[in-house]
Amino acid sequence: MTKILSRLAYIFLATILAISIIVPLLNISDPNAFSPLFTGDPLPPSSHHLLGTDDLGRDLLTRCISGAKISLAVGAISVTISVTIGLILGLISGFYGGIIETCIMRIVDVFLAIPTLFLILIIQVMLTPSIFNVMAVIGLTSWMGVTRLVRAEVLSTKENPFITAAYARGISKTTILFKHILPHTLAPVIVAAVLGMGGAILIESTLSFLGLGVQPPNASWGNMLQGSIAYMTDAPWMTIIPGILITLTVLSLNIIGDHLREKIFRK
Amino acid sequence: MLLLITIISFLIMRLAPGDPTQMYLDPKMGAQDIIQIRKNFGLDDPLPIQYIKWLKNAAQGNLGYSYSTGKPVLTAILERLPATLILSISSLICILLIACPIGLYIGSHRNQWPDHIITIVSLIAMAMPAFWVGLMLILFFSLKLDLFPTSGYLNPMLSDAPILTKITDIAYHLVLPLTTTVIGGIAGLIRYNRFNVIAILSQDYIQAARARGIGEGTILLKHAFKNASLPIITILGLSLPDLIGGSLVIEYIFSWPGMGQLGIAAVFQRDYPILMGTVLFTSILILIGNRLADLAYRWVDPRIR
Repeated sequence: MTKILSRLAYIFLATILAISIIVPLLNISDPNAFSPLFTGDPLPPSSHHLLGTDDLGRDLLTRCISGAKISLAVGAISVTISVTIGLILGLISGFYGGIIETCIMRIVDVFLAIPTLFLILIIQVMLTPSIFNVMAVIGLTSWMGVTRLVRAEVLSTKENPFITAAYARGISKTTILFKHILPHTLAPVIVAAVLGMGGAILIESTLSFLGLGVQPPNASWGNMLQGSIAYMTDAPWMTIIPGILITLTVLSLNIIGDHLREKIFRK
Repeated sequence: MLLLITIISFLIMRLAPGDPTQMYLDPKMGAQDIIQIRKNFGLDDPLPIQYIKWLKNAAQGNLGYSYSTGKPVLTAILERLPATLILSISSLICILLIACPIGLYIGSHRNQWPDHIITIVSLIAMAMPAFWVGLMLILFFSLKLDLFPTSGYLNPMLSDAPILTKITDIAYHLVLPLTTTVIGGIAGLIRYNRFNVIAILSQDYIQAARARGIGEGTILLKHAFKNASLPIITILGLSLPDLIGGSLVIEYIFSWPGMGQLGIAAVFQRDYPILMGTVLFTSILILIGNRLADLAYRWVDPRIR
């Protein structure tokens, strides 16, 4: 069953990715264009607008597609940032130890004790909200898990005989760190990155929902939900559809992450 | 630890652009008035001095005054604390009460259909944004079925009512926010618990108990459960920040008058003292939670007493 699930997850993610890249290139419809049928109330799903329109008469399907691109990009880039920071700090603290390690791990503890969302909200309200700020802020506040993970990996890899052998051959510390230890930490880091991307998409949607993330007229799944609350009784599709997309995407990422982890552990 | 948290949050808040005096801007005010306001709030001092001043006052129980309402921060937070505690403690209890038996059951009946269904459902629950779950619950249970109120805490008409009526009213308002937090927090724990139970059931002492002819139910409840509950406590302690962070948005959606709602409002108003206060209090809550988790650990596991 897990096999079917993970296959479905790969297919879904690939489809979303393909659609979000190809469709905007075809230039079929503008996500900010207003429907000619629009009279003031959100239009329900019909043959003209497969998923209906939002409160301004913009086609929901087109906006979902252009939102997919932004949500996925925010997820991917913020994870790249957090993984890079986590990797560097984890390598340093695991390899060199001593005071540096204590300092870094203390900072990790402190950041872990402040609710991430709170921290992001505080920073985000100070900056002018934009897509790049969202990416940076999410990346800069979610590196702690990777740091811990990498440090633990480095600590266990360091004890291997082949590292002692490398020292004996007179290889420099930096070379050992990057050529012999780093590759061993990469597998779990990739798993953490895939799972972290799901988390980043969730945070992005929350931020945009509160109006502190991706700003209109750009569409993201989160900010599409922001405007939908007022229309929940009359136009529930505006709330339901972007949420389902977020859930399915994050679900796929989580399943793929689990799948990768199982593969690594089986080795 | 707390000290470091306050330093970091203080720095982030003060280094960021944006000025709380803008809240008071009034066309009639001149530059002189703004300088005066800044002076009154102590915003002209160098940062370390501002911080030490805040810390000194905080140690004496004075967390400053809200920039927007002028209320003492401590009072504002203490007003909101009960609602937050009701929500977070009741959701913790619900999560434990639901996740433990389910995890135990599907862990011991691995790869049967309840296991598959619960695994898939909990995967989905983990992937849903908490605020969207809240919105969906409002959509179906409040707007469509009209079973529960969309938001609020205590009906203002009932402020003079007897205590029992008040409690039922709060509980009535609590249902939806509680369900939302439970859905968000429970899935991971069920999965974790299942994994644990599976690992424990394959251990030698369980085999030994089976060999002695002890019933499967007794083995599960008496032998496996205690060992499986140990890591749950740790995980629960570790997931506290997420739980409290997640309830920020949930409180906001359901207009639940807790600290999260206060904090979000303060974020939008650049109300530094309130923000500092809420960050401090949430951190304290989290540290207390971790401490309690440690104590519970000792209580469950006699080996580390």
